[in-house]
Amino acid sequence: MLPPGDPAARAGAVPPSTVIRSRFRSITERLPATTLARGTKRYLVDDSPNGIAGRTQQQQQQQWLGCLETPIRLAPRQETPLVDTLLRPQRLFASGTPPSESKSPSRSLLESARRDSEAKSAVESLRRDAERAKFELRQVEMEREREREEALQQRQRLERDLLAQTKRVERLERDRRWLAEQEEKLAEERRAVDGEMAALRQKCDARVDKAAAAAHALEKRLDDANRALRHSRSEHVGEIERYQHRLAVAESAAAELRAGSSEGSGSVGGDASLQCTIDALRREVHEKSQDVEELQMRLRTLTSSSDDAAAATPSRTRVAQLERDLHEQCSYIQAVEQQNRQMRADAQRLAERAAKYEQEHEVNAALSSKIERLEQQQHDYARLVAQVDALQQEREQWRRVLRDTDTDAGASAAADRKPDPAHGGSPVPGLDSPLAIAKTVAAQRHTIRVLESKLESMQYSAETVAQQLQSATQDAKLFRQERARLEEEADAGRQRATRLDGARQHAVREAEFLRAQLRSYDSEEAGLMGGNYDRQKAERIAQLEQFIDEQRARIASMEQGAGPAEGGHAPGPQADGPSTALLRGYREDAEARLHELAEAQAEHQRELADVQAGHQRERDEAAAEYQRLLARFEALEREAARLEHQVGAGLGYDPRTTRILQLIDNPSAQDFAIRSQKLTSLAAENEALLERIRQLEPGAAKPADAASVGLADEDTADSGDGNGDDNGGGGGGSSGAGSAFFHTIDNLRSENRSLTQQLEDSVKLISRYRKEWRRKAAELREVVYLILGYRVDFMTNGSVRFTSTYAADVDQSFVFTSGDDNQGHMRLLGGGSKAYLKGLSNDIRYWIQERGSIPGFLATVTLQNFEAQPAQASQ
Amino acid sequence: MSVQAQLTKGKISLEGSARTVTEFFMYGINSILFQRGIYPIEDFEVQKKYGLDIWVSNDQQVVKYLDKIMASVEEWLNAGKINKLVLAVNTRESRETLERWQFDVTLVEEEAVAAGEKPKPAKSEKALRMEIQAIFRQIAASVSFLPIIEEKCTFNILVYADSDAQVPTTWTDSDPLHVKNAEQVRLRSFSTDAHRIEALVAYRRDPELC
Repeated sequence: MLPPGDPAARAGAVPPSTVIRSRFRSITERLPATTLARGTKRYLVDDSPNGIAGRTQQQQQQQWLGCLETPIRLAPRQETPLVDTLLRPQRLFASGTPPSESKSPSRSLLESARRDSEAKSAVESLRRDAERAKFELRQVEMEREREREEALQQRQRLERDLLAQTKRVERLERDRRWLAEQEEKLAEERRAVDGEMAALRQKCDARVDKAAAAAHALEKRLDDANRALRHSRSEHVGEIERYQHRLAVAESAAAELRAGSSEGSGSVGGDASLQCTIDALRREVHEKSQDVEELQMRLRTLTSSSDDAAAATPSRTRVAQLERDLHEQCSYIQAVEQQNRQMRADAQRLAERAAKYEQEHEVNAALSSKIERLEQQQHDYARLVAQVDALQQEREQWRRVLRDTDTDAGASAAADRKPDPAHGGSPVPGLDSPLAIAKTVAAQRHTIRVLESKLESMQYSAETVAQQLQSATQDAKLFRQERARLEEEADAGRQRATRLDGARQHAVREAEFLRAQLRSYDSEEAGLMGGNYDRQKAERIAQLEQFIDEQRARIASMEQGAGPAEGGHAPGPQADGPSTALLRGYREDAEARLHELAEAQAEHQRELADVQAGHQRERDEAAAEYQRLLARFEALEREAARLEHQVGAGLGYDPRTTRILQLIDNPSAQDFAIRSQKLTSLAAENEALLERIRQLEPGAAKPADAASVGLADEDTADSGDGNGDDNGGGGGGSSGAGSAFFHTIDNLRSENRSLTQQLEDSVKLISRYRKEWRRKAAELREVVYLILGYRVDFMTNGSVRFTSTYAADVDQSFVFTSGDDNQGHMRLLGGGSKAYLKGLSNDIRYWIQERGSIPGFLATVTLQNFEAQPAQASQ
Repeated sequence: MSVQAQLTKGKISLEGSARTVTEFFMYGINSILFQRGIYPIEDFEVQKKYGLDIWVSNDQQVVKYLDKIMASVEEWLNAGKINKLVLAVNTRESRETLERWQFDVTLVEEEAVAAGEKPKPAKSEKALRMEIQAIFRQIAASVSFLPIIEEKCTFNILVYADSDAQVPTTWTDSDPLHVKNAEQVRLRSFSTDAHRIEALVAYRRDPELC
């Protein structure tokens, strides 16, 4: 090696050929360049004197390296410290021997390719999992759709029931209104009958009063007439007695006279006068007798007729008339009194019956209210039993939930926690009231909030890690690009080095040739010319120098031709030797750096994969925990909403600690009492009116006939006691069989019974039809499956799923639908597996889209599946 | 002046709070009876209260009934034995409960004041009035979403008292008069320094809208 020095100073002392020779020697025989460490970087130091004038080696080296503009320095710098450190050159091999412990770039490339293929296979498996999950999701959605359809049908059925109930209620309401109208009509009729009865009674009372007054007047007149009669009779009797006395006196005088005449029968004069006296007396007696008869006749008249009694004419006919009238009046009065007594007796009996009926009705009302109360209590009991069942179920759920909670929360502490024998399998104590549950719910909500915040923080960290991962992925991508670029540069450098090596070998051969030529010249000079050869030698040297310049220019042109890829920064012609060494070193350095970068990238990818796997695991765990907490939170929310709803509706309270109080005298109770009283009175009135209607019916017994009325009343009462709701039918049958009203009620009831029976029969018939239809449909599906080779499933949304007999998997099915118009045009809607459908896209296009034949398509698929079966394939 | 008196200076006492709450119940029940048309409009008259025009019943029976209720309620509020006061609106025909206005009563616990800290300032009368005003406005606005009452109705007032409360003989136990098929809306609340009142209305869902 030549010592370093000023080449200009040496040029004057050394001949040009020596300089040229030394230059070529320096090119061909130069030792490997030494390395110069500077800080963490190591740069190649060229110690050759070529092109170096007046500068230190370090400055020259720096300038030279500045002119080189390595690709790494030209590459865009990354901001990440990792890249910075990776891009920083660590080692520079001058001898071109790579370190034995580092992997080769091809191996690293194979490693990365293998990792890529593994990642791709993992991605494929994940994609398959995702497809499977999508299929399951679709199945779940279809399941939900079917459940929704079932719920819709249930709702429609309930709406139909509700509509039927509403119609029934309306019909009953119409019946009730009709009954109320009938009741109002009957009430009006009853009021009219009452008015008529009152008027009749008033009239009868007036007539009775009038008759009583007339009787009184007649009695008075009769008394007067009797008194007058007695007076006149006594007068007449006295007069008659007087006349009789005078008659007796006259008879006695006549007897005496007759005795005196018999004793003195001779005296004619005396006899004539006596005879005259006797005749006069007889005439007088006759007149008196006529008067007596007349008086007796008058007396008879006076006693018979009271009207004419005052006339004071004591005729017998008048008295008889009076007596006859009096007798008629008395008989009329007696009849009226008898009727009055009868009516009073009837009224008393009716009052007694009414009292008895009211008592019975009260008893009946009390019994019915008791029955209602018992029914209500039974209903309440059933409701309470249902509530108790629901609460027990809820308790079981809570118990399970709390057990799960205990299991989840205390799994770590389960070892050192002793099981409580009292509450080993029982729910957590203290949850026996809604308040405690609400507290627990609140605590759980708090826990859920905490866990949610934790989850959010974990999600945030996961997002951060994902961002880091993404940035690392980008870095890796950049590294990969950098590596590819470096590899391209290395290839280009390798090609250039090859070219330069060729040029160098050519130059070496040329130099050998020139040396041989020089040696020949030297020998020729020494042997032939004897030292007189300067001019020829100078010419030859000039030619050789020219040749060397041409060769250099050629090499420079070659380097320029190979250099455009390097941006025209090829070294000058004076740097041929160092450039080759530099290129080799640079290539080795680049390979080493590439290797280091690949290693670092692999390491980084491994770390990244680990971190990614860890984060993925944490994310999965967090997602699972989140889902679990979310489900639990939703369940607790639902439970809290239900409890709150119960509390709002008035159901949630603890009867052991809370009393619900009301004032006894509250408006509702008052209103109910008034309504109950009114209803009771109306019911009594209704019953009375019904009874009255029964009595007024043409076939009923006459009210005047007390015995028959009493019998009818007893029959009615018996029917009322025996069958409360059949009051019209039984009573009408016994007392008023011809009542249209009761017949209407009976007809309605019988019609209701027959309709109920018909409804039950139709329900039975429908259930039988449904069962038979199900059986036939299953049979049809089985026949289709066996003959046509497709299992047909009718889905709730109206579409039909066809699964082939020879299908390799359950998801290899087709879903057809009839479209919106339901006109029988089926179209392929989808299938169980999208990949499967994609595999059959040609058949679908050929058969369905072009030919429009679904059967042809299905037959083709059947044949394909049949041929694809393993047994068939083996045959 | 004692320390406790100094601490509670400016705050209304338990008795004052009970009186405020009872007054609120009185006017609230009257307002609900008017807004829901339980009694005809002729039976009501306007009174100024809480800065609002509130319709108050002048039916003597109703007034007497509410006075009886409120006397007992105030006693129970003073004793802290009352949990809820419920106004149930039920039909006269079937006695079914259509609406249930529930006022939850909770005792406000005195927060422990650490040494050196100032006690929590008392709620001003204006703030209390504004809170009560909001509830009355919500009661008036509830007509817009509550179903129209087409049947003849009456009402009853229930009190959820503690089991150890002293109950006069004019009171009796009752069932909760729950609403079947109920929807419920929570109204605003207000609180004095001693009590917190939360309002809620539950009503029978209109079967035609389901």
